[in-house]
Amino acid sequence: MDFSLTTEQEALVRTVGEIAHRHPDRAALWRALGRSGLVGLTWGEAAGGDGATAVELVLVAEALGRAGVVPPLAETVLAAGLLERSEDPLARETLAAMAAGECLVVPAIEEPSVVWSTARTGVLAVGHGGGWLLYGAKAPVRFGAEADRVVTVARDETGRLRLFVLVAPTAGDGLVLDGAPAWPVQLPVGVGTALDAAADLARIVVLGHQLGLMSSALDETVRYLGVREQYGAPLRSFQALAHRTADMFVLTETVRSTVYYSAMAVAADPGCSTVVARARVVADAAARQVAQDAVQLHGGIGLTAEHAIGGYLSEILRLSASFGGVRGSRQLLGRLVADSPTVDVLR
Amino acid sequence: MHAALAPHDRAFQAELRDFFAAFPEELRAPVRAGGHVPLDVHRAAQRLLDDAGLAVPAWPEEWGGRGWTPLQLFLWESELQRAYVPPPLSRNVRMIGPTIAEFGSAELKRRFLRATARLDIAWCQGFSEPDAGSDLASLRTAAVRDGDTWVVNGQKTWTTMAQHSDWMFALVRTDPTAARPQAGISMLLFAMDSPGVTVRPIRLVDGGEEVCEVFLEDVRVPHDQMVGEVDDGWHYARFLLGNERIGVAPVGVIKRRLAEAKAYAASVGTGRGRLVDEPEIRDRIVGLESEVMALELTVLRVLTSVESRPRPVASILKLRASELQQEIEALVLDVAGGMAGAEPDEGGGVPGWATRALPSYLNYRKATIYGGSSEIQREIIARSLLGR
Repeated sequence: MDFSLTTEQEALVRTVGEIAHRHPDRAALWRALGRSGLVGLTWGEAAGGDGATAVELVLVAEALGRAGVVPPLAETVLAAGLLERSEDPLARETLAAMAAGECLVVPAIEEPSVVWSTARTGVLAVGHGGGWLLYGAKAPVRFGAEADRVVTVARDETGRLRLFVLVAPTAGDGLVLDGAPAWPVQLPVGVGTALDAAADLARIVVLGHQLGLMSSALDETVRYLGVREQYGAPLRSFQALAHRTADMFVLTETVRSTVYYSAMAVAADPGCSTVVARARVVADAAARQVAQDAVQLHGGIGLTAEHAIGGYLSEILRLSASFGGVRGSRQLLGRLVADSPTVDVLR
Repeated sequence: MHAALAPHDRAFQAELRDFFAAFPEELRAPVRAGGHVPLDVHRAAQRLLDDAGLAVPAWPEEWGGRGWTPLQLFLWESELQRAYVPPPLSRNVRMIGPTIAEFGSAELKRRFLRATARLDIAWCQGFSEPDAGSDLASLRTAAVRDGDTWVVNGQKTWTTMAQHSDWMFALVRTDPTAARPQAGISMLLFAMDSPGVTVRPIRLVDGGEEVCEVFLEDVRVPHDQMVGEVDDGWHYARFLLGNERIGVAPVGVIKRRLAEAKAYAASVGTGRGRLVDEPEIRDRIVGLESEVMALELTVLRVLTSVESRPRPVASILKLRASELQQEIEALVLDVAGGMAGAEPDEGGGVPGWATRALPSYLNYRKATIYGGSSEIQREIIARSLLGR
């Protein structure tokens, strides 16, 4: 058990921060991250990646969140996690292009008015002249409008889940599939299993982003309380506001410990979904609280579109709902509550 | 960053787990039962720990310390608590022992440190006064020098277990004219059976008498029982309280209590199954287990990484730990339901844990008050954060 960063990890955090600072535009940032080899951080070198662990991934995600930008990193990580398991030439070629930041591939897993599921889908895949056509709808598809390709899941006539790639899908925030041609991707394991593991790595990105966003929301608030004056005194001199800030700090630091640990745990054992779920339970509520308090302490200015603070809150909430959300995490953990007396982290 | 224990730490953990698993059951049963643990049980346990070199591992090695890493000290405490071994008393082991070892004369060290480590002497803490709570430096108990003796007059209060203690370490005002209230304070040690010491236990809302008032009337204390220098007591008190605050997050105890809450919830029926399987109880447990994990991880982060250590550490941990302790007590109370109001001796099959649920809940309201209230902790954090 060790929470200290290596000098390489510290340098990584600085690099990402600098890149994010130089590229306030999200699309430009994404290309710059690709050029620096940071998009394909976690997938294998054979597939154009860097072979780094979930720890490096969470640090990159945190640094981006700190800069207030949330590029399609979690989506990329999920899509790559699926494609990486396949030996198909299409998957290999797609991965290499993704790592370079030249090709944005996002997952289309969720379906309208249905909760996140890796075991069920309403989209049907029909074999047609050696290829496949998909029927149904996928939404929301985050970053769908910018995506070059989409990975998605459909069931064939026997009810079996299969993985597909859609090329040039013209997806907006959702995908209406009315006989859309799709390329099948063969996986050595079940689609649901592959999806659960890939989603956990994507959730690590979400946790890192939320940690970075809440850290920045807190920092901005501390700065603001020092400069904004009312009744002839800086806001920080008012105890009600100061104590609220203290609570924000406590929440942020407990989240930091938990998020780092969840990344360490996934780095050691990619199958530890419960640790990720537990981190989400802690981080999600805390991130919302901190960002809401940050808006409250900024007053009206915190709700304006020109101020960063409201953006932190809306990004945190958007992330909160992703990949099954905290509800899914609580459900998973709830089923296991009576199975063991304590949650042990020292093993 | 890595999650797993290093092999040598895992071996260390296993060795301690085995040792504590073999600890005499008659000494662990009173802890397992909940409620007040008699001092003679603590004494017997502390002597066994000391015989095994496990009584005061955090002290300087010269006085029984082991030179362990902070992580190993944490493992020691976690395993001890996991096994319901009576814990070394904080007042002896965390507070006055290390303070004497750091600032006491050679004579004080010889006289007190071994006896303190073995609990031959049980100490109580004479800090708070009726008009000096959070604002400790406003204390008024006066010590006036008479040759080689200090004559002490005043009153201490909220003195935990004073009625069972052998000695008191007390803060007294030795220079009432000092410019700052902190400047004229000294630390004295005296026996509780000294003439002029009167102890009056305070009956608390939980029915127990955990704390006392201590009246000091012309209590004569030899000068060689002063810790360190005259008028320098505030400095030692800060050191002593700093030691207390490293232990402000009793993670092992908190985890144990939450595990008990789960076991209780599994023992209560709902007509269609067990209370532990009801969605709202389950969800509360999920939340608490996750938050407790976050607390433990924050402690571990503090222990294993100097660079990423959030400051002020002690206030952060104290705030979170005390809140979680209270939330877990609230869970136990709700799990006990109507049974929580039952008298212990009523019979009729109400389990002991359920009759103790209400007193225990009430008792733990102290957690956000003692050792610097939550409001004081927030103030300390806010000052550090905002530069107020």
